[in-house]
Formats: sequence, C-alpha cells, structure tokens
Amino acid sequence: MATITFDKVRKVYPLPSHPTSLFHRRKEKDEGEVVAVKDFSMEIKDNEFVVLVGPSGCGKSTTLRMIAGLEDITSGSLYIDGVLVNDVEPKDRDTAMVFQNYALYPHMSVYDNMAFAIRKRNKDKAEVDKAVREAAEILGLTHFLDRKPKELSGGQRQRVAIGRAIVRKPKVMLMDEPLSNLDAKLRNQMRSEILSLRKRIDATFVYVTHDQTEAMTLGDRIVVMKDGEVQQIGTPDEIFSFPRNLFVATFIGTPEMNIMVGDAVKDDGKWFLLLGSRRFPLGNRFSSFLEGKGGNIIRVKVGIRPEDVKINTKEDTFHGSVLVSERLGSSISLHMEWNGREVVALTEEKDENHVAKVFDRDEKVSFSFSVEDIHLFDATTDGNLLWEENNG
Amino acid sequence: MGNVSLRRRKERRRIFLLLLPIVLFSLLFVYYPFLRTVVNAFSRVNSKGEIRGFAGLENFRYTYSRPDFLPALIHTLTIAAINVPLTLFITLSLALLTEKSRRLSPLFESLFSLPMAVSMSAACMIFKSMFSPSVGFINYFFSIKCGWYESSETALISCVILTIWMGIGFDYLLLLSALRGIPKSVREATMVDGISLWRRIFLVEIPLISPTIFYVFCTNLVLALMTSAPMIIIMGVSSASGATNTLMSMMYQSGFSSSDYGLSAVMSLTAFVLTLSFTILSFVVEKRRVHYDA
Amino acid sequence: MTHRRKEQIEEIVVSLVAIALGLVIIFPLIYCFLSSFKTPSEFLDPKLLPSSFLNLDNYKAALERGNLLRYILNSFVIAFLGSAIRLIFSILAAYVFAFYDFKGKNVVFFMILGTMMIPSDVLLATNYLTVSRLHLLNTYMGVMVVSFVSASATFMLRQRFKTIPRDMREAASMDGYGDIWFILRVLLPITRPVVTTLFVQSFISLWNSYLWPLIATASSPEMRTVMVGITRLNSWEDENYQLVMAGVVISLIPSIILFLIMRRSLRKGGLEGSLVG
Repeated sequence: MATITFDKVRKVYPLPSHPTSLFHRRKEKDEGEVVAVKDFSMEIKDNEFVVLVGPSGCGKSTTLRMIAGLEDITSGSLYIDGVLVNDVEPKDRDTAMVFQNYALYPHMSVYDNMAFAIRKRNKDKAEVDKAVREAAEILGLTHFLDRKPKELSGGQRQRVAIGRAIVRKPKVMLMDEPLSNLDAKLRNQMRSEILSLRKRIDATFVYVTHDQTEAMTLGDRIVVMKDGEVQQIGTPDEIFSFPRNLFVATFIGTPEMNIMVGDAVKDDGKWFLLLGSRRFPLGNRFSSFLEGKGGNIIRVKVGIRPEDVKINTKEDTFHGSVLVSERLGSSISLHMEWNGREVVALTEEKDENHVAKVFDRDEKVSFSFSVEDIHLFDATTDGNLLWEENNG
Repeated sequence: MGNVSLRRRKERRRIFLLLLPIVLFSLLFVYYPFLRTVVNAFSRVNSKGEIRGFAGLENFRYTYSRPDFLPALIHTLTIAAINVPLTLFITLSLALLTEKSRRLSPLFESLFSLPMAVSMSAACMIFKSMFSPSVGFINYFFSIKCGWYESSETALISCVILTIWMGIGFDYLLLLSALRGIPKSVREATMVDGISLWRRIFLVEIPLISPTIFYVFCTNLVLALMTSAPMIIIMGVSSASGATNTLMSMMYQSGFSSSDYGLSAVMSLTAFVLTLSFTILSFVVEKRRVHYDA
Repeated sequence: MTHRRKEQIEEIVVSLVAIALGLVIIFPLIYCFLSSFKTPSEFLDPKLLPSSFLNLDNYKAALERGNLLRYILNSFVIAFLGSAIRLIFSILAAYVFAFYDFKGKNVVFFMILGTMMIPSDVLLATNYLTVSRLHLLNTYMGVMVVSFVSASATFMLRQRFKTIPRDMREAASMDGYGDIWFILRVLLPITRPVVTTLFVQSFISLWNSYLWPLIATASSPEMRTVMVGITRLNSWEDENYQLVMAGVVISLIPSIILFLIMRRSLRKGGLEGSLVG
C-alpha cells in the first residue's frame, strides 16, 4: 500500500546520437530531443487502481517505468509514500512489475520463477514456500509449479508473471500492457482475474494499456495521455460522460463518438444548435457557457455517441443512407452517410424473429438523438465547452 | 504432357549444373581424402601414398607402440584440459564486463576481438619472439631466466598461452552477442525484483546463454585437440624431439617429413575419433545442463 | 550520492578496466609493432620502445631479402581469387537450396554442411597427394583449390536468400529471365551486405592460412604466401626478430584493416549476432 505523487515529472530523451563507431566522428550534438512525458502531476491514492491509457508513443509506458526506476526522471519529483524516489534504485522502491512479454526466466520452473525474487530477502525456506504456494493458489498455478515457462500457454505464462510480482507483496504493483499478447477471449478472462486479484492483495496498482475497454473496466481512475501530455484524469464515468476534449471523447468508447460540425446560434436571447438543416434548442446546460464566449454565432463540433443515436424513431430528424451494417453480438453497428459524413449508430432493433435487424446497403434510414446527450467542443481548440468554462 | 516433363528435365539439369561445382569439390577435397585417411589407416601404404594391400590393425599397433605416441597424446589432452576452461573463463568475464552498451563499447570490442584478425603464423612469430629465452620480453619483464623451449613443460605453456590468445576474439564476440540477445525486460525484471548482480549473472544470464557457452566449449575443444601449427612453426617440423608434439603435429611430421602415410592416417584418425567422442560426450551432458528457448 | 552519479562512476570505472584489459590483450601486437623499428642491437636490450620510429631498415630488409613483396602478391591473388570462387560456388548452391525443391535436396544440403564436421588437418596428407597428381603443386590453383567449399558461407547465404519471396524468382522467370540473370540482377543487389561480409571474412581467412600453403608450395620458394614467408625470416641460429616483426606487421596490415571495417559495417547493419553466430 502506498501513495504515489508525481510533481511536474518530465522525461526527455536525447534524439539518437548514440555512439556509432570510433572511426566515425559523432555528428553535431543536440540534433534535438524527444519529450516523452510532459510535466506529469498527479496523486495516486493508497490502494488505488490507476490505468494509464493512450495510443502508442503517448508516454504511458515511460511514466510506468519511471515509477519502477527503470527510467531516470529528467526533471520534477516522484514520491512514493511521501519519500522522494528520483534517485532510489529500482530494487529499493518496493515495487513489482509485470512486463508485456512476461520476462520470465526461461530456464527456471514456475516455482523458481516465483521464488527467485524473495529467496534473497527471506532466508526461511518454509516461508518462501508458503508465499509461492499461496500465490500459485490464487492464480490457479498449483499444478504447474514444476513446469518450465515454454511448456505453458500464453495465459498461464501471464499468470506466472503476475505470481512472481505478488509473492513479493509489493507496495506498488506495476503492469505494462500485461494482456496485450493474449487473444481476445483470454484477455477478457484475465481482466476479471486481475479485478479479483486486486481485491485480494493490498497494493497500489498502476496499469498501462492502449486498450480503452481495459482501462474502463479495470481502473478506479483513468489517466488519458497523448504525445506525453495528460489529457484527462478521472473516474471511468467522468471520462466517458465528460470528456475534456475531442481526443478523449473519440479515444474512449467503441464505436467511436460521432463528430459533426455545426453552429451555436443565439436567437432572441436563446441558444440554438444549427446542424444541417435542423435547429435544436440548446438547454440551460450549455447556454451559460456559450454566453461567456461572446458573439452570436459560435462554430462548434458536436459529439454524439453511437449508442445515443436512435434509428427510425417517431421524432425522425435526419435522413441518411446505409453504408455498412456490422453485427456486434446482440447489437448492430450501423454506418450511415449523412450530409457527406459518416454517422455511426448502435442499435438493437429486432426483426420479426427477434434477431437484431441487419440493414441493406443504400437503404434509407432516419435517425435522431436527444440534445441532452450531445457533447459540444470548441471548433478551434477542440476543448469541451463545459470543461473550458469549468476550468476558467 | 510431354511438354511438362521436358520442362521438369530442363529444371533438373539446371539444378544439377548449379550444384555441380560445390558438390564436386566437396567430394574431391573433403570426402575423398577423409575416406582415404580411414582406408589408409587399415592399409599398407608406400612412400608415394599408394596402397599396397590390407594391413589390418598393423598400423595402429605400430603407432600406439611408438615411444613418442603417449607423450603426444598426453600433450594433446593437457592442452585441451587447460585451454578450454581457461578460454571460457577469460572470454566470459570479458563479455560480462562489457555486456552493457557504453560510449566506448566499440573500442573495447575492437580491442578484445582483434586477435581474431591475426593469422596463426604471425601470432606464432610474435609469441616466439616474446618468449625467446635470450632476447624475449617476457623473461625481461618478469625478470626470469626461463628457457621456454628447452623443456617440454614450459614449451607447452607457451603454446597454450598462444592458443588461448588466438581464440579470445571470436569467442568473446559470440558470448557478447548472446548476452546482448537476452530480452531487455528479463534484466529489468531482476532490477525491479532486487536480484543482486552475482545472482543475476550466475542464476539468470549464464544459464540463459548456456547454448552459446556450450558451442564455444565444443569449438574450443576441437581446436585444442587439433592444434598443430604452433608446434610446427615455433618448434620447427624437423625438431623431432617430441617435447611439444601433439597428435596433429606428429601426424604432420609423419605425413610430410617421413612420408609414412599409414602412421599419418592413424594419427589423424585417432585425433578425429578423440574429438568426436569428446563432442558426443559433451552433447550428452548438454542435454541436462543447457537451456534453450531464451 | 545520486543514482545517476553512481552510474557515471560505474561507467568510468568499467571503461578504464576494459581499456586496461584490452591493452593487455593486444599487447603482443603493440610489442610487435614497436619492435619492428628496433635496430638489431636495440633488440638485444629488451626495452619496449625503439629509439626511433623512422628506422625503416627492417621493413626494407624484410621486403627485399625476405622477398615479401612477391609473397604479398601471391597471397593477394590466392585470397582474392579463392574467395571469389568460394563465394560463386556458395551462391549458386545457396540459390538452389533456397529457391528449388527437388528429390535429394536434403541429402545434398547435409552433405555440404557435413564438410564442417571434418577438421581440415585430417585431410592434409591426402589432399597433398591429390594436388600433386593433378600437377597443381606450387601453383596458385593448387593453394586455392582445397578451400573452394565453404559450408558456413553456403549456409549463411541460404538463410539470407530464404527471406526473399519465391514469387520474385517466379515473376522473373515468367518474364523470361534465367537463374544467372536473377542471381546477378536481383539476388545479389538485395543481399549485398551479407555477400560482402562473407567475402571479406573469406579473404581474411585465406590470407591468414598457413599450413596448406606451406605444404603446397614447399618446393618452390617463389610461390610462398606471405604467412609462410614471415616464418622464414629467421632461424634458430639467426634470431633477427626485429626483421620478423617488420614482416609480421606488413602481413597483418590487410587483415586487421579489413577486420575493423567489417566489424563496423556489421555493427551498423545490426548483423553482428547473425554472422558471428
């Protein structure tokens, strides 16, 4: 159990000007540098499960590796339990890490893989044995203790990697895309196992993934990152319902949020949204923020989640034609063309046989959505209008 | 149909022509001489190398009862017994020391591997000069008066030092690239888990590169057992004193100085069988001790 | 002491230790280089440094008296032509192994690989007789002929060729181009780094070879290679090692330069592991 505090943590890599050869003069130095993580500030609470999520190269893994001590911190401070750890060796941080490719010791049995890290600290053989068997029990590895990693399936190897981390009873548990090498079904299963594991052991979890579903299901809080910068920190609900900007809005949620361009117009003291040829009254939720912008016409990006788009309802508003309809299990993801753009709706409309209805290509459909469900973003800054106002 | 088989025939002819050179030369200059050596060992061979009838085990009896055979065998085994573990120890230490890529890594790597580029005869001449009892640097530097080539022990020592030196470069590069091939995350896992340096080296890294260590072990063994050039170059072919004779240098002498092809064949075969059995033996041990799939 | 500080100190200490060890390892070469400038009387007093680096008498003597110039030419011809033929044979065979399927392919392949298992020393005596019957003793061909087969080069080339899709050769053959054209115009340009490295490796090993050239040119001093030549620069009676050292330096220049260039290009190409192992 531990708190982790980031205070303007920054990681800068020099651009590759690595030593190539003795006989080669090093090229001019300072070819530039890459900022991997920009001024990351955050307080991770004791026993919290935080997920760092973002596209590849966003700095999430670097952030995790800085907690582990595998990367130096360029500037800023990192505290674990209030102790500055910038210069503390990885082994003295009481963190354990599960690596993406498991990093198991291929020549050791499952048992030895798990016992290896604690044998040094704990000389008592019986205690080591107890810890290993406990962990094996939790992860269902008891029957595999004598096997070598190469004799195990991907999911089992993953469990050994987790087991190796939990036998140490670390304060902080770090996981670097632990499920990304598994197939979809196993991934779902391991996800729920990690959730139950989390309830059984006392540790602060920091988990890195590029998969937003994993982030949404696992995290107490989610940190969405892009290009080394934190986009938003919040609970899954907050992130989903109040995305701070267009990037977060489109990154989180599948299928992706629909974005359309429209105008907010003030008419007779009331705000309306002009979208295509339609006009919607914007409720009080938005009007006060729009007032603050000044002017009577404001260009906005309108976001609406596919699950909030309704098909063939009574209050039909827009008319489009079907591009593709994909079956996603019980529901149908319907791609439509409207006004030269693609709009996606998630529908569970059933046909006469109670099977989700599939649409034909070019079939005319009408769709609508409620103004209550829309998100408005500033057309130039891509910031959520509600957020911008909130944050001054 | 006839067309197809014609094309097939043409393709087969092309394959045959493309493979002909290498197959022809490997038969003529590798397999034939090898078989011939085996046959010679069991035949009466005259000084022109012509077979003059079946000899049974006569050649073997004659060779093994020669007074200089046992010393040669002992020298060969001694060289192997000292050379193989020592080379492995030196090269593995160097590889572990420089395993991490550093600013000056290209420099160390070039220094450590440079002996690889030096030819056997050049190395022999340099060492011969350095070990020279009268003007050599070694005697001067350590202030000793050792007549290196005068007794068989010291002459052997100088040969062993030389063969080790010759082997360092290649083995070092092999071990280094094996160490660097260990996935980065394995090393990071040991760092996060607080595994000490020694445990990391002996319990993780060395077991992980054991296939390469085993390969280095085998090639060194073959090399050590087949050593002949240092003795021939440094001691001279004609110095039949036997002070540093190995199986191979004895083979060389009998084949080229005295044209005793029967004896030469037996020596070759003995060295070959010895090498082969050691190699097989180490493969048996390897089954239990070496870990693949890194 | 901070973490980074500790790493810096470690870097310096390790680097210094490694350089010191490196100097010990190449000491014989340093010694050889320094000694080659000594006068005969300086050599008797076994100090390391010569009095002057301008004393090139040994080099002159080695080249003239030792006939090293001629030997260098011999070595060069043998190493160059020998490597070229070795590579041609290997390329042709590797091409077949990578792009054709036929009955007995595995047999031929393992037959070529099997040559690695037989130590060349075992073959010396019989090969000597064969070469002498072919009347090739004391000729360039006689020295080269035993090293035309290289299992490792064939194997390495086959591995590399196998990464090139077979479709490519099929496309070329549909356009009416034959095997040789495909090898010259497609295969070799794509695989040039490996081919050059193998050529350089082969050149160094042929340049450095000793026993076979010694035997094959025993009766004709004119045809000796440089590696044989340098061992004849002195005798037990006349230990003029300074002359020998000059000869050794001359003989080593090509192989050391080629070696360093090769290592650099391997490192740059990230090929290090693949070719050493």
